[in-house]
Amino acid sequence: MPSQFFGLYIAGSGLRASNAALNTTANNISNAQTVGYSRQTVTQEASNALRTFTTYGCAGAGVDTIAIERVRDQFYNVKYWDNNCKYGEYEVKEYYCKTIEDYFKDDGKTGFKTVFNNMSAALQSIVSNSSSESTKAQFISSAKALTDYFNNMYGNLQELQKDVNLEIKQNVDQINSIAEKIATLNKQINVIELSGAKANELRDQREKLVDELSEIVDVDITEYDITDSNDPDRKTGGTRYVVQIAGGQPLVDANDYNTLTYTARATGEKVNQTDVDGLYDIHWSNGNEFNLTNAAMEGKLKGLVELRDGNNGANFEGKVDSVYEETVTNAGGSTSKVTKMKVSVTADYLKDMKTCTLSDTGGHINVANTIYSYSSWEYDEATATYTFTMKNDPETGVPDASRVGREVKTSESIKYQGIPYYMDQMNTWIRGFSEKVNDIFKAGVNAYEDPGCILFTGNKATDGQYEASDLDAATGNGYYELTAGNFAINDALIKDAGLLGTRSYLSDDEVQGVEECGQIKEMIELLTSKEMYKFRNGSASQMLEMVLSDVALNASNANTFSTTYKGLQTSIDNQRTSISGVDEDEEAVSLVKYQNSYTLASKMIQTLTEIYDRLILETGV
Amino acid sequence: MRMTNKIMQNNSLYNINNNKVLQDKLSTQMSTQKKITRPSDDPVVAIRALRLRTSVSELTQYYEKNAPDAESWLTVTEKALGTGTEVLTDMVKQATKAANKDLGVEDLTIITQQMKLLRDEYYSTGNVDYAGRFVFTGYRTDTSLSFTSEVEDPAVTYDYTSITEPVKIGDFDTINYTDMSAVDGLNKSNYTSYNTVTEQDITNSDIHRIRLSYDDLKDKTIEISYNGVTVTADPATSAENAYREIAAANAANPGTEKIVFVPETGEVLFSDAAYEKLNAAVTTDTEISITYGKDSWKNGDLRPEHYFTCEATVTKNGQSENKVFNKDADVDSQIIEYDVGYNQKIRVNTLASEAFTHGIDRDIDDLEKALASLTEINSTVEDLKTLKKNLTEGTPDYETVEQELAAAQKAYDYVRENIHSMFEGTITSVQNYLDQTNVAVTDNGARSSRLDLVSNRLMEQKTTFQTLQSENEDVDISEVAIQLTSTELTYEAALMATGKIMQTSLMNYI
Repeated sequence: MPSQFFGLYIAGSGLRASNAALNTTANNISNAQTVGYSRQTVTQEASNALRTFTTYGCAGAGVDTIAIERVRDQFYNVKYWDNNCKYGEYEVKEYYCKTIEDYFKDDGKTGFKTVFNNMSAALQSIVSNSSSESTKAQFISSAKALTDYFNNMYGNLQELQKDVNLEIKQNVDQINSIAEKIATLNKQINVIELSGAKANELRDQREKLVDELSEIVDVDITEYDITDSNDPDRKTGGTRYVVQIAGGQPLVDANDYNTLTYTARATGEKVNQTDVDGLYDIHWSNGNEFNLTNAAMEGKLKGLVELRDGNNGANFEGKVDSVYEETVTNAGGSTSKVTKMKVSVTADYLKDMKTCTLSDTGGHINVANTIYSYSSWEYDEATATYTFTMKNDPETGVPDASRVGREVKTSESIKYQGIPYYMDQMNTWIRGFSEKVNDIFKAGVNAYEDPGCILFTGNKATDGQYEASDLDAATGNGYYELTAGNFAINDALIKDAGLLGTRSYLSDDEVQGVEECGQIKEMIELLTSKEMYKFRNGSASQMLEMVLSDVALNASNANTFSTTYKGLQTSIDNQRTSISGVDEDEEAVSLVKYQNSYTLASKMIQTLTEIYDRLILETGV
Repeated sequence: MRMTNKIMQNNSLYNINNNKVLQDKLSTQMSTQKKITRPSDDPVVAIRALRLRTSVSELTQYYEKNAPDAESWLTVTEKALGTGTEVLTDMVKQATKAANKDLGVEDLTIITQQMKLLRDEYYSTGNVDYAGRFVFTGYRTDTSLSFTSEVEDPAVTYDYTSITEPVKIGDFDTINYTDMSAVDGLNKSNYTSYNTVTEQDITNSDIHRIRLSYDDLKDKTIEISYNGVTVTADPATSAENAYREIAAANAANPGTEKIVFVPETGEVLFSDAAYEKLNAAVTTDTEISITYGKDSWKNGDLRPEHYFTCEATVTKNGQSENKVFNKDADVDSQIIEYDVGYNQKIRVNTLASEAFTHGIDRDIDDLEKALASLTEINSTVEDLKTLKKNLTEGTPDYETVEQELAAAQKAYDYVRENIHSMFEGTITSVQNYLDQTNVAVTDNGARSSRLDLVSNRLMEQKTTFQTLQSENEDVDISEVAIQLTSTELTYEAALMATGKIMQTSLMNYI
């Protein structure tokens, strides 16, 4: 027979349970708009029945609130993170591709095609009046517009590369900050959960952080239960939460976390000839290498790295032929020894100085996974070998003969068409086109009956311009010297357009009449003739078509993928919300439901009070 | 599926946003009239737009610049050639007037004077320019066709050390030479002391000659070569002597081979035997090249570089410059062509060699020379006639005069006959030059009309490409307007739906 006050106790448990449920409802309603919040539900259970040793057996003992737990499905979390890193990648690509597209776009005023068409029209004007200096001056000024166009493009793309670089740094900072927060949360969650309770809000926060992290880089989360070491079957309630990023590289492991550091490359130390100074190399703080170009990597970071370093697979690769020491005489007369390393290459784009993108101001070179430094290089066309002058690297020194036959590279092959790729395209065009144009005008005769001079050249980094001999592969470095950045018109021609070699050459004694313009006619043909100059299977004038179609396709791809992943994200998020989200109607129902139970339970207490009143004060008195 | 308010809000927002994106796209299309705003919207359209833009810009250049330029050039040429033909027609008229045996020396002198003026006019039309560029001088638009007053500047000398003139056997002509040495210098004061002359002393013969393009040449020697053979010519002490030497060579039996070069008149004279030898050695197409030098020029002389291969030294204020002309490039290669369409070129210039020849000047030189002889012999004849009138018939003086007069009259008749046939010949030759000029006029006109056709086609092409461009890039307004209206409707519907579902929840009814 249970206690006379048993009922009061049962009703009390009902009150408490309803109260807890009402509080949870209140919490849910309050957090209805909180990002990352998972709705919580109250798990109630009938209390253990009291064995009353009566004919009816056990008596129900009221209700127990066992737990307040959040409703969350880890499956959708993983799906969300997987999708989010792809979305992050394409969103950032979309943004930058659009910017590149804006740079390359020809609005009919300042674009390549417009500038090029103007130049072509100016050439036609020379044909109709080649004895006039003003038509030549007009052509030179239109050619100047072309070089200005490339200088401007180069500047814009370099600025863009700087922006991308900065954004990489910011994202690395963010990864570090998230890692630290997750590690802290891990600790707090374990402190709470070891006591048996669920750290709902903290877990929500942790997942929200992973949501953020997954946009930057791909994440892989594993959570292990911690078991008692003395009794492996017994769970302690604590968990070990491991976050791996960028294709399985550990970021957070329970209370510990790793951070990434970035080091800016030294001035002049470049991977690509056209790179801006101070690009960041990323490392783990513990010294391990962080592989930025890891194939498994995804997320914004991947998008940014591909944009910053994407060379369309045209990286420098080769094999060490020989390593030897050479004695050089220094300025003071003393001699010193330098290590030279000969590397043979097979790729076509490395065999032609016009498509070579290797930095000429020094950089790092990877020989069988050891990073050495070099200060300069020379190319020998006959043997297709690059001879690097090595610099003593503080960490690895210089390579020795044991390196012969090993693989060499200065950068990774990145299939994406990033900023270095567009730079390379412009450089390739400029070098090939300039060579042909200069050859035409060099072969011509100018208004003063002297041999013509070169039209296109480059401004030297220090002072002055490259001479025709500098641009001759036999006597200088050839057209490798020209880039979109230093591309310029020969100063002499700007001062005096009459120096342009418009007339065709007959012999040393005889010159053509002033109206003859054989070289100009050849030049006009060069603009549209694939036979005379071929740029990616098109003529010189089709450069923009070729490059713009790359840009447009990349932008359009990024656009499509970004829209697709955004759609998927919305739909996965909806699915996740479908499970975890707070529904106002549902909460309203809960409110009414628990309010009713609360009212009923208190009614029960009131009834019991009346019963005790009757029993104690009126029964048998 | 469990549907929460949040999902509905998310979905509504997502849909409304999609509607807005579409609306923005359509409204941008409406306001820019272009299908795409950035290449990635439709790379195919964007790339095609670039190609079409190039085509339109090229066609515009052809249609608006090159074709009108070509037209102006052709028009200037046409006008100049028109003047040229008028001048030549006048010249034919003058020559016809002169080809009358009744005309006396004075009349002929006046007509010749007139023809000289016409000749000057003719050559000065060759110096016509288009915007400062001479039109008949090929690529050398900075050089006039003929020498102008610049040759009168003593500080500048033009020494053409070698001019190589190609001739053919057909270019040889014959001149009629009357040996008047017997009556040379005879006048009313010296008739008695003069050598005895008879009619038989006056001889007349035909001489083969090549008339070079210039007279008053520099060197006494000349080089004649054909088929790799070089022939030398004897230098002449004077023109008169040269004719006489050849006449003597012809008169000898058998005739001797003799070639004499006369620098003053620019003639190479061949004796019959020498001519026959040459004639046998060459065919009608064999090029016989004659090389000579010339360093004195007068205003109006055609510059040799527009016609012949030559080398020259131009000295200006003591600074000399060597020049070579037409050695590696043919004189006929100086053709200026403008691009007036895809792979369509039109020749705009007419070369001096096609329209202006040395022949006219040289014809007039010949006439002048003959006229000088005529004037000389005429005065002798007139003198003797007057003298004879005053003498009594039968006196020894009378006899002498009569004999002298008969000789002089014979010489006069020969020369008069010769000058008559020369004027007749001039009619034919000027007519030939006129024909040649007319061919040039016709060629020029044919090019003009071809240019008109090309221009019309260019305009059509331009329109076609502009249409293509518009089809490629421009929007169909009515289509976009309809789309925009329907998007607007959808947008409003979406807003209304969202408004309705977001307003109420169960709370409203509790």
